[in-house]
Amino acid sequence: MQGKDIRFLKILSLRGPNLWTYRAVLEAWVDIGDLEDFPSHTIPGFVERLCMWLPSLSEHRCSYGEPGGFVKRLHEGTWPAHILEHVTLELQNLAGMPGGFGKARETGVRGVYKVVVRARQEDVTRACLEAARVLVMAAIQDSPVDLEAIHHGLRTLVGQHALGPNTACIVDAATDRQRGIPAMRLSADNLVQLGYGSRQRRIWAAETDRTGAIAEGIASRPELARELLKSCGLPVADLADKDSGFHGRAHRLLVVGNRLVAAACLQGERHGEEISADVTDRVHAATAAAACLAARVVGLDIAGVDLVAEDISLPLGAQQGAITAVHAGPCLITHLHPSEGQARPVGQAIVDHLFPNGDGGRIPVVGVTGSSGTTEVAQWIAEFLRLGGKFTGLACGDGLFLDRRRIETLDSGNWQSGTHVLMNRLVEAAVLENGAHVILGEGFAYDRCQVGVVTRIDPAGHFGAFHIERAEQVYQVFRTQVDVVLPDGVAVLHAADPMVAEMAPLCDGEVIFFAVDGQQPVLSEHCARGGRGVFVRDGRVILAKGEEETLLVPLSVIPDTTDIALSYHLENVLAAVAAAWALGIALHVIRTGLETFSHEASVSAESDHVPSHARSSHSSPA
Amino acid sequence: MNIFQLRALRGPNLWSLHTAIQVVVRCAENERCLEQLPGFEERLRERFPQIAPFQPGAAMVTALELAALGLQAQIGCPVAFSRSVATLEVGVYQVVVEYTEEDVGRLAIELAHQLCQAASDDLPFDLTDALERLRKLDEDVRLGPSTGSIVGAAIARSIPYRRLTEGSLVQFGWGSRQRRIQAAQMDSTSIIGESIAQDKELTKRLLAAAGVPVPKGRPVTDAQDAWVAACELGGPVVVKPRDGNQGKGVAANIETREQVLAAYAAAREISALIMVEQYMPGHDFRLLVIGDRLIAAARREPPHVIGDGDHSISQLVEQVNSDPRRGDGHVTILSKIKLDEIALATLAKQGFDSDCVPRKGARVVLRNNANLSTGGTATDVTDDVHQDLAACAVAAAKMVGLDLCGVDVVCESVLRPLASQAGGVIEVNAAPGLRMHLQPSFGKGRPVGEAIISTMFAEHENGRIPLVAVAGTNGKTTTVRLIAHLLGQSGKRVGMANSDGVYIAGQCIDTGDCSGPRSARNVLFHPDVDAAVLETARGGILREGLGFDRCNVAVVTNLGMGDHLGLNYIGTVEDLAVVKRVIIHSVAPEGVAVLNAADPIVAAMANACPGSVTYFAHDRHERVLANHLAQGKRGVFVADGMMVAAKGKLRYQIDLADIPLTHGGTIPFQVENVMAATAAAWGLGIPWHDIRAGLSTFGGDVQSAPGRFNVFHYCGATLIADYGHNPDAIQALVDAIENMPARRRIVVISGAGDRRDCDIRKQTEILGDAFDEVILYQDDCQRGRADGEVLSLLREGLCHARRTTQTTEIRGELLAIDTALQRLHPGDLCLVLIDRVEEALAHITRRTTPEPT
Repeated sequence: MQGKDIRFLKILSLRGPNLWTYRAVLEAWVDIGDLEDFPSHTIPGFVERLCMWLPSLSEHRCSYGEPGGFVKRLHEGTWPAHILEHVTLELQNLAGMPGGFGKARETGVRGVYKVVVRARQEDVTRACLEAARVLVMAAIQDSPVDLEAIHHGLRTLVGQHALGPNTACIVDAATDRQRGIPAMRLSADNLVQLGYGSRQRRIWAAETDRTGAIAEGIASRPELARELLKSCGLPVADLADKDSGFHGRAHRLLVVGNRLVAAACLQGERHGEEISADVTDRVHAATAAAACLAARVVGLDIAGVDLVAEDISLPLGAQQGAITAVHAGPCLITHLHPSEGQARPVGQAIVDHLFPNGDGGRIPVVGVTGSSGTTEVAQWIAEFLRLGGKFTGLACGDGLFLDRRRIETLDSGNWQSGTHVLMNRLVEAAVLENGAHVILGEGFAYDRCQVGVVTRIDPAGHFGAFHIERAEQVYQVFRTQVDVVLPDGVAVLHAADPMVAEMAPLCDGEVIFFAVDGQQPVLSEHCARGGRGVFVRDGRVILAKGEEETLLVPLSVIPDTTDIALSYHLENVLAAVAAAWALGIALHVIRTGLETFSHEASVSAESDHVPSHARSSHSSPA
Repeated sequence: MNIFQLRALRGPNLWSLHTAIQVVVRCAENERCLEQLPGFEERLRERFPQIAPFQPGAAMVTALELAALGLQAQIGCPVAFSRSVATLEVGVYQVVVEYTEEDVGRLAIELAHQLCQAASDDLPFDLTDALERLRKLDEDVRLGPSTGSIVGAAIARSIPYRRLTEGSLVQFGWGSRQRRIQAAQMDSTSIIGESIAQDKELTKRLLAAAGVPVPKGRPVTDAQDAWVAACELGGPVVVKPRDGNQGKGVAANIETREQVLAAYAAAREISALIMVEQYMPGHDFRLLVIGDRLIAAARREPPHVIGDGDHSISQLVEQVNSDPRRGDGHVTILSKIKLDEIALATLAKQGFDSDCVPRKGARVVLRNNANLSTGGTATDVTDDVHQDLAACAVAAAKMVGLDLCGVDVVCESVLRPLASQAGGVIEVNAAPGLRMHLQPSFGKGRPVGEAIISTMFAEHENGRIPLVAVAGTNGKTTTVRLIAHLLGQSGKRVGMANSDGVYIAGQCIDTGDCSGPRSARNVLFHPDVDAAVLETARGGILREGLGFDRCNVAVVTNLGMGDHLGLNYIGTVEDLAVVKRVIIHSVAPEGVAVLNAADPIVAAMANACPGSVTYFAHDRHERVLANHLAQGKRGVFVADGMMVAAKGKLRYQIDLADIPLTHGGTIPFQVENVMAATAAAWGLGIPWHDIRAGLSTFGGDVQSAPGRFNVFHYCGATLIADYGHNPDAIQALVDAIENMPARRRIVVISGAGDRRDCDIRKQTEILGDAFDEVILYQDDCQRGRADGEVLSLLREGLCHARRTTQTTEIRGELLAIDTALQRLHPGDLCLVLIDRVEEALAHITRRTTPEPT
């Protein structure tokens, strides 16, 4: 069977929005060698073996859009890379980490494919890819496999790496379509950041960054907690004390932000599993108020309140009912999966508590991409934001800047640095540069952005790397930046670059075009339709909205632009001005920035303490 | 000398505003004057020479008093107040001794008693041992230095505090404005932040992400990998176990392959998880961040000795330890250096043992950590810290998510930013020790407690909520309820404690007599209380002192002839006045005392008030009130059917007809209660439209004031139920019904057994002159009296009755009420003096239709 093998040439982890999808994926470069000549239906018994090992593949719809679609493709004949994709997804599914997205695409090299699968957790997906390879090869070669060992191994891995169920339900509620709050896992444990920069909140299971250590300490000392509750008039009982006179069935109430959000009646255990019935709708108002008071007395924002009551629909006082304990970081599973009754959306309740009034936890994020000029544009935009009073994080080719401090001099226009900016609690606005290599090889650090800037595209300059060979593919890469603009955001596009201008319809939000020439047809048509545009006329920078025009500054005040009035440099300035306008920065601030900012000075500033070897500059094309 | 009662006065009390132990002591005849005990004083002074001198004619209780105070003072407790007073009973004294820690105070009394006994019997007394016991106890129970510094700062800001546990959990402020600390943690200190800080790897990653320099490095898998990691880092490295402590298995500042491999092997002895990290040369610094500011910084040095070429290491350690500032544990500024196993191991690593004589000037480290408790030293460097370094520490705290933490930095100098030297942040500590900043071994102490307090309380806030205390013989409960009602007008959630129970925002959370300090503390602890109105009964003040240190308004309604006289060495109305006056002493300097100008003893309390006074009286010409008004001060009185609040030319008037509680001004004692409450509300600054609205909606009905002149109608007769149970209350009721027309008057009365005989008799004496028919009843609850005893006292009171013509005796309160109802005719008036308030009112309500208000 020489050459009939599946080999992973490379596995890229795309941790944010990328060429393929908004979500994190692994992109495996797979070489199937001579198997290119053996589509599935030509290998005797292959389809049957595979379907016997993984019967649930029959659910996969694939291109037919209905269950059984993928099996149909197998029978008609499809290639190992595509099969690998589906098997990986199914293995993830069976291991307890569901996630649907997958793609397999040919490259220009014979037998080499890109297989892309959704990666909720990178380590697990890697293991699933590897296991899928083993399974597919075994099915091809008709050799035995230890299915149980594979499944067990993957399930164990999910147990080790996946978010715990308490954390996961909060994260899912935050990131769902309705709330759209970004989430970043900060540790291998359940520490998760929701939102960005200064607007972020952190959770760790059902504890938040506002769960006080002192309150947690009080909750963990039942006697002290009971004493404090009692002094506030709450009936309390020590379960260990059989003679307390209090009795009833055990209940667990979940209080979130001074509101009762769920209640369960605990009915003992069966086979080690807790049996519980949801009773949320039946809790007497006075009992709900008592539970909330108990949480307040202890000082917890999220609390589990245990109590005994014969009938939860009556006040505690009417039935020798009493509170028995208050817990920090309560278990949510009781309410998510009651044995009886309705599941309660406790994750949503916690997210509503953390982010009240529909707050999305977002700071203004500006993404800048294009074939060139992106570093300079990012620098300018960051300067406008800083002048506007925002503590600005900037990750670009010149390094990583926190406000005016340059904390890294190496090229920082990448996923890692962008992530660092968004993790930083001081950061009130972020400007992140992303070259094509970031979109192709890492993904964006942000899920969506307020402003997405595309400067200009030179397709040929990107050919070669990442199996990119056609202009069409280059377009697909850069459009990603426009795809992730928020519905209330703005795409800032270069009207004079046809490929960039073509992206306008892809934007969920508004579009602002910029071009040096105000007569440029795309730009002038856009303005004619009432859109916003930034351009130069008679040596002056003009902001236009429909027919309404505002003179920003004469070019003469902007350093270095007058002599080379048609250079890339001027385009960069216009792009930055358009972005600043999109961000709602006051015009006088933009004017001041244009008059005083020097890109060169910003790069040399603050770097005297830092060994400045390997300084990169893709600020302007050679 | 015999101690037969001991009480801890935990708040302002009869004697002083200080916490104190109060004991009641009986002295034998010869102990009542020390001159009668030859040699006692000499023997006492031999055993405890530091005891203060006595006045001539002092009794042995004075020795007890001064010994208990002196013993506490000797161990450094800041106490100064003590007193001994003879009671009315011959040979019985009350002795009061201030304490700072209750347990220490109690032990001091016990030891002082033993001392007196020993001096008396000429037996030995081990003073050293006694002081040692006290000192030890004091160290155990008093707040540690970190918590103590925060509490001290709160006290200086006039923020009230209360220890919630024997440990370091402390409540600052009251009710909805309260905050908490526990050692160097605030209630806002995040548990997630603490969890992150505990995970040093995670902390390092987060700090690196924020651009805070941290030692680079990684875990390694084997010796070879350790060398690879060292090469990746370049320069000197540290090889250490990931989970090590006390510097075990750590090799620092190594560079060669041989060194790294050997260090790996050594570390592997300690742990399976080994790290190779960049070595950061320099000193250990601790930067304290509170909120978003750097508050203090200290350079920390591990315990060490400097060689002199003559002495061995153990001798040098001895020399260092002879410094008087070095003690054992956490109490002294410095701790002694221990030459224990860890120290010997540390020495061994440097090639020494304790007998080695290091050369002159050689620095020999005895431990690899700089904790003060193991002999390390701290030098304050706060003023040296470069602003970039300070910003770096704040960024580290923010990134970890702690609002109070110690950031450990290693660098050559804090005068320069970390980036300009190969320095970095090593770790972030939650609940950091504050001692090194409060009392550094060298350099200036820093006001750390103040910084924590100012983070929790804005500049002009002291965590207090408006607090009204009410005392008096009669009318307290109605006045308390009315003030609470007025406070509630603006939407404040009022906590109220009175002799019926505790109410939070109108909801009853406790029942029974709640006019003592425990209920007061509960109200002030409750998180939903925006303002508090507390009835402060004499019992609690005598037993334990007040449950609060200070109030905004104190009201004394009246003392009259007094109530409960004869209990607890309170024999006269004057004695009682001293008790009730305690709340007047506790008025804040900017607060107000509301005093009854018509009650001379109450009026005289004005002298005790640190704040201003508002007098009230029916008659504006009442001498005290008139004088007060003439001076342009506040007064409340009645004129032409209006209640008038006056200050200088300022007048606020409310028609009594608009105040239902007074029944159009016909019930004099309710008018007094209304004046007192109005004066209190005025003192709190409640807007007049709220006062007006509140007065117009507060009725004397069963719901809002159970047992307080509740009016019912029954078959054309009027029935009034009241909880009056002392001569003044009865007199007030009689005065009130004088204004009410009635064909015939019937009264139903029992007597509370715990009052003096004369007080029980007095009640029927008053009633006998005002009622045609008296129904006496006796219930099960006799409060310590024999069966029929109270009834016969009541009967005695009726002997000279001028109006009563018919007397009936009934067993059972409800039966007595039913009997009265049976005998009522249209136009009659019946006063029922109820005892078991709730039951009786429920019964009457059932039997009648309450008057619609």
